[in-house]
Amino acid sequence: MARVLLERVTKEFPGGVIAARDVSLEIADGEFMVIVGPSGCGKTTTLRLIAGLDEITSGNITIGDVLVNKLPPKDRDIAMVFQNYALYPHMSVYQNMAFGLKLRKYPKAQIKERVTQTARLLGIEHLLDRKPRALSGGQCQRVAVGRAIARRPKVFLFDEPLSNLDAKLRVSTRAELKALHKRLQTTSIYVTHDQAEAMTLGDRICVMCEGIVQQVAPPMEVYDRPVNKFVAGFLGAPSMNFFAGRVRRKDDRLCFTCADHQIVLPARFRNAVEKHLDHPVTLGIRPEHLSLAPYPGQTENEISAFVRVVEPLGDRIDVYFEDKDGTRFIGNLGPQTVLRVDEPVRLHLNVEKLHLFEPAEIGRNILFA
Amino acid sequence: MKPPHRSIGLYAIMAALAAGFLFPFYWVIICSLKSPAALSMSPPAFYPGEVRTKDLAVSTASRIVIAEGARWLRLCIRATEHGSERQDGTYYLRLGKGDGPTKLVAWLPDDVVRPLSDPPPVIVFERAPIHRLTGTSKEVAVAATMVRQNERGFDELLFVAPADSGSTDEFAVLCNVEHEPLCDFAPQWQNYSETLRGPEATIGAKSTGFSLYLRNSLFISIMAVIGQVLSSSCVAYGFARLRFKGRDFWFVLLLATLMVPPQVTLIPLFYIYKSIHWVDTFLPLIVPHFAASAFNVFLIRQYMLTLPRELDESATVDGCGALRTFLQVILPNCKPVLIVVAIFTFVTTWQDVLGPLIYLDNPEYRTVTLGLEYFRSRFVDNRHLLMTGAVLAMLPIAVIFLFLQRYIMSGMVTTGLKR
Repeated sequence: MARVLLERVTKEFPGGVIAARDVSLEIADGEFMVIVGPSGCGKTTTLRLIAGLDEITSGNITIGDVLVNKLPPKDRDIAMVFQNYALYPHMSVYQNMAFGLKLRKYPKAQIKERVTQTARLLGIEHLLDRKPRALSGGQCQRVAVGRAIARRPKVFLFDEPLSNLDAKLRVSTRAELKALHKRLQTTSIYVTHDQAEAMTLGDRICVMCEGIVQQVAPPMEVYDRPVNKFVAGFLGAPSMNFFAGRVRRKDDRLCFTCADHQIVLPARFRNAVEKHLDHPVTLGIRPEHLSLAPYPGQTENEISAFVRVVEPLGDRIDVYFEDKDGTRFIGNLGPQTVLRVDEPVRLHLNVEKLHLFEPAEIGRNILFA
Repeated sequence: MKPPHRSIGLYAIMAALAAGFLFPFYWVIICSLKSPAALSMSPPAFYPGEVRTKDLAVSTASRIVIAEGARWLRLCIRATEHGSERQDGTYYLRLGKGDGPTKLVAWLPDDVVRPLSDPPPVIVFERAPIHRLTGTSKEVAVAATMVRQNERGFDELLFVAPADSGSTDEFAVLCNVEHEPLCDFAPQWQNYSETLRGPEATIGAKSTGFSLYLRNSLFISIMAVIGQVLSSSCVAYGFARLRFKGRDFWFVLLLATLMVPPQVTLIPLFYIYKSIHWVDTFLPLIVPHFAASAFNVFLIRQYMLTLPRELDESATVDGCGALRTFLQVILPNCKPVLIVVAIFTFVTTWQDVLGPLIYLDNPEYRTVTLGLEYFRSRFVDNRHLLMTGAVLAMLPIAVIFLFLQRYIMSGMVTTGLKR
């Protein structure tokens, strides 16, 4: 059990690619931290730096109270679960789980006790004599987790451990991992590109992009209060809709205008928005905050659009709209909604839930700045 | 389902190809079971049969006589017609020009020699028949006798007397003459025991025996396999996993050595080994294998590259250093390619003629390939034993193939961890 501290950690690969830039991150003792981001964002590199599989270029990494910058992986007291499990194919499940303990010169009886105990915990006792190739993907995954747990390290590192499983198994294993963490209370760092895994598993989420940490916060906070356009667009499925436009003053009220839409911003945004008056901004709204206007033309904050694609999902319907400018956006509507393709509709925006960003690729969130 | 006639055609073609491929093996095996006479039959037989011959024992002071404008070979016949009565007399063999069989056509007038009873037997010499040369009473040695064309265009009969046969004037030639077609199936199993006694034993000399050659070859081959597997896998691991300066350059350089024909380095190597007194020992044939070979390194490295790097990293996290990762994680997973390397090395070392021929001299050190050569020499031609030796030499390879063919087939295409 230990706290993991990254201070201004930078990793530059030979050839000049900077995979992690000034990453500062504190993972509390017993915390489940999920590092999430698109591929190539430096999340796996960060994990490998913590594991010691790659050497950091600058900065400090501390595990517990030990500065581990120069320490080889085996002395860092960590265990890692790899994406492809990396089980030793020539060893049985038992040998796989015992290997790390054997190398640490544990007495035989203790190894046996630890391995069987871990196997019982994960429900893989009956597999102990099998070779990895005789296991299913899910079983391999359990063994890989078991191998990590048997060692009882200070920190677990997970590198996309669920991405090789099928969708159904992924969901159930996700829940098991969460339960397991609750039980073991070991500091865990979990890398994934899947935002659903990030949201469900993490005590806190660290969103990374292009080697830079964008936001570190509990899942719901990241979801509700994204610091920038990247974080807002990355989390949530379908992702947030963006409209490029400008903020204008109209009758002493602040309005976001874009194409023929006019959205009146709530008064509490006034201070934050004022300095962006007449500048280009991007409005972001999540699909679930769009709804069909019950009485078209009667309320404010409506936009008109055409229905393009309708995707019924059972519990809701995802509808792809297109406005007059050709901007496409998505709305989550109730399962009873009946819409025809190319039908013109009026949509209501929940203005309390909208976000305004600076127009750049990773534009700051104006409202929470 | 395909219509049956199509698969019949396919099977016929495959069977024909298989037969074509297996024919040389069949041929060497039946040849190893043939008697020398059957082996020299023309056209050859497709089964090891018995040759019926009319043997003629000839005792001769083989002198060439010139009479009536022709050259004659005087043969004093002491016994004749295998199994029948003695018919003593002196035959004259006319040494003529031409391609056909030389025939004993007549005997010369009384003043030269006493004629024989009627009708004169006709001895047909094959183009290069094999004769068993016997002493006056007991068999002493084997020597070759041949009909050969000299520069002047004459056929010449060369009788070669064994060194210990005593008088060159008094020895017998048992000629295999008038081959009759093969009849019964009669495999000569004793060829094998004869071969195992060694090539020198066929002329009555002391021999170390063929089994020693097999043991020598086996020893050299097994040592070579151990050397190659150990050293090549070490080097391959370095090239596949470790990071060091100029790694790719060194690897290309290593591969470039494949382009150097071994014949080029042969003489310099010989001088090196000579200067350190390794010539006429097994060392030059074994030690180089402990210094890896470019091809095997390449093969193993390519295989190691298919193993996921996470395997190494997992071992690192578990607490392995580079050496332990290599020995306990990478090497066990390279088993298929290591078996392929072992087989390749074994077969090439086992088959090597040039190396042993150059470095080995002592008969005690002869390898199988070298030993085979001694069944044929200028004066001795035991092709049947050569064939038997070839079959014996083939056996270990055949056994290896039978038991390890799964690895030979799959060694190059195994995909590592993917299931």
